[in-house]
Amino acid sequence: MGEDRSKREELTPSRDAFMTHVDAVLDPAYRLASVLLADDTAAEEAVHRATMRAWRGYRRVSGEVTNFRTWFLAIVVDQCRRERWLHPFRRRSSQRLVRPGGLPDAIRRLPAGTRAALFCFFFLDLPLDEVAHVLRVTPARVRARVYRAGEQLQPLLDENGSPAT
Amino acid sequence: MSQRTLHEHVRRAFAALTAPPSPQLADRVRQSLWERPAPAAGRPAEPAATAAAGAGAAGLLARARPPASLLALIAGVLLVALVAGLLLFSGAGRQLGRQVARLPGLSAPSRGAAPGRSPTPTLARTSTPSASPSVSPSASPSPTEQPTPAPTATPAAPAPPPVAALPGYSCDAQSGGGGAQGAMTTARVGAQNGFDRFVIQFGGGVPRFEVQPQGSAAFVQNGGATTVTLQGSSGLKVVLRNASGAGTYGGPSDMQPGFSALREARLLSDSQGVVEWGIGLSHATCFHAWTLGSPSRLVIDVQQ
Repeated sequence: MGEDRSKREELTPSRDAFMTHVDAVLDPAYRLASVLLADDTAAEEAVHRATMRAWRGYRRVSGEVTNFRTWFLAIVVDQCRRERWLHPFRRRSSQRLVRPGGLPDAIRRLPAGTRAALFCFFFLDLPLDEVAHVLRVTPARVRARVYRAGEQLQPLLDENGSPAT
Repeated sequence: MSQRTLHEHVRRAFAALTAPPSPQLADRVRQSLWERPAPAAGRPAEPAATAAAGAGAAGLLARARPPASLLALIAGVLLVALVAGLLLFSGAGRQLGRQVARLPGLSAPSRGAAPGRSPTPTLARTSTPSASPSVSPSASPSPTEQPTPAPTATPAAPAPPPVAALPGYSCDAQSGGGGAQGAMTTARVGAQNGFDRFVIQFGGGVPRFEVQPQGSAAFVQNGGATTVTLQGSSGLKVVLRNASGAGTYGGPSDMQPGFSALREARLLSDSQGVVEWGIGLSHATCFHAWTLGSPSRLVIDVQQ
């Protein structure tokens, strides 16, 4: 009896270990959700749900996941897609104000998939392969998205490389 | 401008667009995590093949189940569509049945629409079986319903009503029609559930008509020159004024169907704008004379 219990505890994944991993990626996960959903409240909800989903699957993969960040971000992206699908007409409530016509405003107007690719590539500094894993697209598509977005955003920077005013 | 510069500006832009999560989010996640039981060992929860890096996330996402509320919503939509489709098609079927019943070629109503029980509302009741000669024209182009006034008694009616008249029927003389020139084209008989029917069809409108019951099946023909006796023990004499069948009538001049009430119908005379028909009945009974439009018809239903 006691032997079974100790074996079960041994097989049970550690919440502390899992939470340590989550704490390390909570900031990029939340920012990524904000980029995809353009809504702080919805992003927080999506990250919370994604964390619970990740915990359910963590038992099976705890010994196999070599890159927790990529694995977790992929779950967050999928959760954000679910949220967008389930609540297509949700009113966006981003509290950050940006100057119209500036670079942040132009990025905000990009498609969600392109925004996410830019965010992973430029902000998180993920390699293209990992960005592709997170977004569940091919690396070629990530490259195309980043390239086209760069072409769109380039005119907004002046010759000195500063954002045009 | 170098790629590095773009990189840096985009990075700053994302920093401006996003913010770090609130401390409450980590607390909330931690609290939810500790409230939940640890995943069971045998539970195929999340990605099984998530081995290297995020490659397993695809497996996880592919096996993600849709929420129950979404399934309920889809089921509800399908159910509503099914019910709407059934209602639509059943309504269309009924409408089609009504339109078929209105076809002008159908001289007899359906079984359930026997005049004795409940006159069908789609048939035109334009006859006015009353003794008054001032009857409105009955040549109605559309088979619309018009109520039939109760027939009034004619002093010359010799045959007393031996049977109780059904609603809409009368055992007295009936008249109606309009002032139109009636070009008689055909005539036919038919047996229905509860009544026998005699129909005269016209090319133009229905002319002025009179239907007179009599106590025998003997009729005077050709202006009194001859007397003809039809089958049966009672009779109805149908007189059409301002009508003719010369050159237009192609139907039979004598019909002996031997129905339970209507035994024989014969064209007695057709001259000087007056057409006379004799109907031999098996017994003295009540009848109902009325008209239909498109094409114009005089219908005489004899109660069985």
